Amino acid sequence: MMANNISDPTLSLIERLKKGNLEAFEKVVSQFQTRVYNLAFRILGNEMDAQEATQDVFLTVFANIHSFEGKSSFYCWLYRIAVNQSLMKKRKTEKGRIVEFYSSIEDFLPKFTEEGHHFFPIHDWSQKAEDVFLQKELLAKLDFFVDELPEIYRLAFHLIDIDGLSFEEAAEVLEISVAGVKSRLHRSRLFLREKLSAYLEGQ
Amino acid sequence: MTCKGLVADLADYLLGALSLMRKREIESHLRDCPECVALLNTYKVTSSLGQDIPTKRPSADFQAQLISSIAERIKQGAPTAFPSLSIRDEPSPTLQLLSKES
Repeated sequence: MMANNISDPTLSLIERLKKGNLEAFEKVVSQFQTRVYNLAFRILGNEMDAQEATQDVFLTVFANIHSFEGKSSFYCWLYRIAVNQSLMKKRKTEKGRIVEFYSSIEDFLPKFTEEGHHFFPIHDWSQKAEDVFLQKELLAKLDFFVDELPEIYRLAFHLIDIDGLSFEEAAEVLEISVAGVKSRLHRSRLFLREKLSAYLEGQ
Repeated sequence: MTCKGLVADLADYLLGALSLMRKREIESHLRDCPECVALLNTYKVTSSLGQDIPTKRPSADFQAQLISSIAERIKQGAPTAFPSLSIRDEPSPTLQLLSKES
């Protein structure tokens, strides 16, 4: 489980990074490598590419730390590099073809009648999800379904509901508006809710 | 307030970001709509499960290998042979693509 409290390295640690201090760099890697790796894995989908991308991210941080001016938090800056590097690697691997499970998630969003009522019945499986024996499998399924989301929604869900960033932080990382983040997150949750519903109704 | 209207405002309702009037409209609707209650409960669970998804970890020797690469670069006295990314002033082209897709 990711800790939601992400603390920024201290100013003195950042200053030592800028001076090329290896011990300082080790501290930053130790603090953030798992988060960066998980983010890279979410974008790239396999261990080898995620590990390479993670290494590239920290090498980029090392090479560019002099340009970090402290206008944003360090970890937002780091996450932005991580997203950018991982997406570039993905584009290179796929040679420009973007391969996604679903190009559109509309089919998995709630449907309504002309009067605005639910078109299909909605079942409340929230209690079932608390069953400890079901938890491990449910989380594995959710993880899988997150990977089925189109990239823009997958990133929003990962950054906020998995990694615990705020809307403002996620907006900064993704370089979109807070409203854009909220919209993507909401749609991703509706998609995942629907996927979990279908899965649990089969249990 | 329709079910469709409630779903559109669901995220803001859970954040406490709606006006008092809108919040009351939603709560009034929830009192009479078991399907929206079901959707609300399952939406909340879906969101909260995210933080419990097991963490993936890089290999045990990853950190040591990375630090070793950096140490080598410091020894060589080069900033890095790795192509540096200008991320201060220029919006990244890849993220610009994502921005357009919002």
